[in-house]
Amino acid sequence: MTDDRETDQVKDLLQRTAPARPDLAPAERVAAVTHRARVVRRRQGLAAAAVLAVVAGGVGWAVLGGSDDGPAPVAQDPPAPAAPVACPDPAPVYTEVPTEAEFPVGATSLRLCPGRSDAGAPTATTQQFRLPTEPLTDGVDALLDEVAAQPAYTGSDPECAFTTLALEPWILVAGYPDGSTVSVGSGSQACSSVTVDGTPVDVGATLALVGQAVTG
Amino acid sequence: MTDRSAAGTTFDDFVAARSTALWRSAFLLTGDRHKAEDLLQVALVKTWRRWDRLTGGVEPAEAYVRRALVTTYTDWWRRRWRGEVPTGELPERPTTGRDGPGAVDVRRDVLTALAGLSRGQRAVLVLRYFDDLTEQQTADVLGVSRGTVKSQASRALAALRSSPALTDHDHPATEEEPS
Repeated sequence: MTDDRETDQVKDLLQRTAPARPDLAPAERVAAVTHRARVVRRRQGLAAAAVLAVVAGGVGWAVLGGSDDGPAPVAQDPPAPAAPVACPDPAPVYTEVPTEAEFPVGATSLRLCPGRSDAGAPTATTQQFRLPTEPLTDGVDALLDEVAAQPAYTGSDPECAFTTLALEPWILVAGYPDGSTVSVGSGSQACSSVTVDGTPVDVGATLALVGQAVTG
Repeated sequence: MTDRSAAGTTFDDFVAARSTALWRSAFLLTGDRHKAEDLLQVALVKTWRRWDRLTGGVEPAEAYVRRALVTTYTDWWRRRWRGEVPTGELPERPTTGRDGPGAVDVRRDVLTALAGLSRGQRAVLVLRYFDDLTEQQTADVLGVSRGTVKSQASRALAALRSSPALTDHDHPATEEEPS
């Protein structure tokens, strides 16, 4: 067996392994790339605007502090960081959780939480919930960027046609410094989508993405 | 997006001409159609941002995309997919006419074998034996030495040679290689 023959065999196996064509046509891919670039640019723009607003506020404060109208204001400690967002209690019925959400820039915590299958069912507990429920407090905006920048869900996975989906309600809750929250959720953990910042994204991929960030 | 160009080639034309091949490479890196599309789109977004600075035609652009694919794949492996474990029972997808009979079996077994490689070995294998890059081109894409490419390729081939998943296929030699 020569090196060349081995190389040829490996090349042949790799050629046979890679599917002949992707699911997306090139034009659809260009559109998806355009969309993702715009999502990233928009969120980066919002983040930059938020920084500018903070800087401008600081400048205004400094100008006021330097006036002759009275004593210079005493610098105050920055506000204490908000506590990580908590899971709603009781867990909401999944049909009442929005499947679309716009997450503003500035989220300081994120958490996966259980939902309920219906109003009469007992509240799901974190023990029964298989996804990690620990809060994420670092890189929340970056993670939400990644979630929103996933490929648009097409529902074309043929495996889903042969899958009986269990009802496994979940909610993704983002917390903000002012105590407000933004949520999105679904009754299933696969073969469906939720819409994040205008993009319908696969729930399985989204939960994997968030779950890995939380446990990583 | 058609108003930007690299050496006269629009980004749209580049994607139309090259993205199927790039997606197939991404599939071999990730082993999953959805992740391959995700990986390719992230690499293309990075490329699009630099499109007007990629001079010299399609080849430098393609080299840039391949570098973005591999570096993103490596980065994601660390951050996103490290919970994955190789499995011998990957879910089967219906065989389609375009993939040909038996393609599912080959795909399942080769992906199982590839899952046993380190990410560096897998990247080298895909770049050298699927994308058909030279050792030097592979080294340039990965940002490593040519010697590293040679040793990674050698280890990857040895791993495939001994992979139980590939015993039923025409796979790399099992006998001693001539010295």
